[in-house]
Amino acid sequence: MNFKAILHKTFRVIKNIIIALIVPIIILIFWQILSNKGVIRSSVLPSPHVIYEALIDMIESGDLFKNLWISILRVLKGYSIGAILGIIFGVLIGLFKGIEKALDLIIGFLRPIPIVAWVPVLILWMGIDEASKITIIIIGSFWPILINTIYGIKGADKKFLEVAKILEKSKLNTLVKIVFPSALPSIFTGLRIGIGSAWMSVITAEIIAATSGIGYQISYARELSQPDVMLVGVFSIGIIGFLIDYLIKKLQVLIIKWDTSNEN
Amino acid sequence: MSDKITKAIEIENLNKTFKIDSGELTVLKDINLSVKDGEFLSIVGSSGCGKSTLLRMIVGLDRDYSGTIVSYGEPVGGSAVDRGMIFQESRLFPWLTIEKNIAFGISKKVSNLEKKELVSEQLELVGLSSFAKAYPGQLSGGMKQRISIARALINKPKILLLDEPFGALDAMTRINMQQEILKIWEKEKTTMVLVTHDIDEAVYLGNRVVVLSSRPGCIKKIVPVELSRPRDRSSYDFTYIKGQIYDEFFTKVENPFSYNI
Repeated sequence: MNFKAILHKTFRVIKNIIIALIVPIIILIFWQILSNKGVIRSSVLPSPHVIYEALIDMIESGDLFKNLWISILRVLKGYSIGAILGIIFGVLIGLFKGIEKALDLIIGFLRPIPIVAWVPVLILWMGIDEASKITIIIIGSFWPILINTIYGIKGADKKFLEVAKILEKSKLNTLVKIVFPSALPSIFTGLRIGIGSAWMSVITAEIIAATSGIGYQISYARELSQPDVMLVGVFSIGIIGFLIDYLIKKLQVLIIKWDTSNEN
Repeated sequence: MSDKITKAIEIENLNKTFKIDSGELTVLKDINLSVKDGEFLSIVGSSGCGKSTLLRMIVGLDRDYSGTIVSYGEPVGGSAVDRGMIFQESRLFPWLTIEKNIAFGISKKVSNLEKKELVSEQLELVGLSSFAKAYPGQLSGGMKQRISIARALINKPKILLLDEPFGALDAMTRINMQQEILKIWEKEKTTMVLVTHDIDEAVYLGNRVVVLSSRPGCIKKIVPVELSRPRDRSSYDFTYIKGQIYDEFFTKVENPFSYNI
């Protein structure tokens, strides 16, 4: 019975993977056929086969993983600082009306500034080195995490807070046991949007000015007119972004065990 | 010992108004009520009559009123652990296991070992010891409400206020829970104040039933229920008392048939 259930589950997983792969495979087949017939010019969009060969080349030379690793490392550094700052400020703003009022205007003014606009400013202030890129990532990941944390903290159920009040719980105890856990799903939403934003920020910074990283590789390939190398770079950004999001989703399910709406 | 100290709750000239756009709305008017120590008091009223507001004021969640509320000789100012409260929703924290939810009820500082003992004692009282490690999401509505009762009772409050605690449960579970709460009342000797819109429940549980009129809510009548326990819901006396309260809310329908002999 148990064996049967496992078998059944495996079948279902395989079936889902196959269904998810149907559309991309059809696109790849058409793309290859059209390239072979010369409908798509290879100087504009190389065929999947050519891109695949470029990928193998880049893996063998070590360029791809070296650059990807540099970008990932930057994201990790910037994102962790951005996340910590976002959660701390989010909790403070969510809890204290005074802090919210004091920061409301400056947040309203700074938040709509697109991340690209900061790149030249930060390069001027910090130079072209790591510091400016990591700061870009910090800014990029900070906003969504901040906003979602505030939203989560403020959204703590009043009914739960009443229970704590009746039981004469201290403010700190209420925060740790009630307010923060009830804000966690929302904080995780912020973390997921934040990592996407951090990943976009690093590529933006690297394309504009850098001497290493996957964004740099893309812009360098453009200068050398190597569309296949460019596309390998572009697609690998997508794959890494997908994997990071997947990891955070798994972490969310692991930490927020009680939230049954997240189980699939 | 003066008379007031033996009174669990003493309410005098209580008035409550809500501010609305078109002025003020009187919710509760001239409430005078006293609850004896160890009594089970039921309060019935139709929805919107302010009965839940009354409980919230007794527990100390709502302090915007005129008049006095005194509990065991002490004026009520804010919430206190010797007054527990159960709501219509169980209000269990979904992120804590059942045992941690109950442990959250403990207000005084105790050692971990003591905490464990207190929690398992409560779990036994409500008969759910095997669910200690489960999460609230895995429990049925009736079970959740039992845990909620366990959490409120862990401090051994002198008074337990119940705000339509079984309103969201199905009829079968409700009757079970009513018997359960009676068992707890008899064992723990807690003073209970129950707010409900279910006349049957009010009569089955209460030593007295307070009938609240609506808009503004004031005490229309206090019906003593002098029936021995366990009470038989189908007995003549029980139905008679129920009928008495029923008549306070609804006009009697005259028998439309005429008989010719």
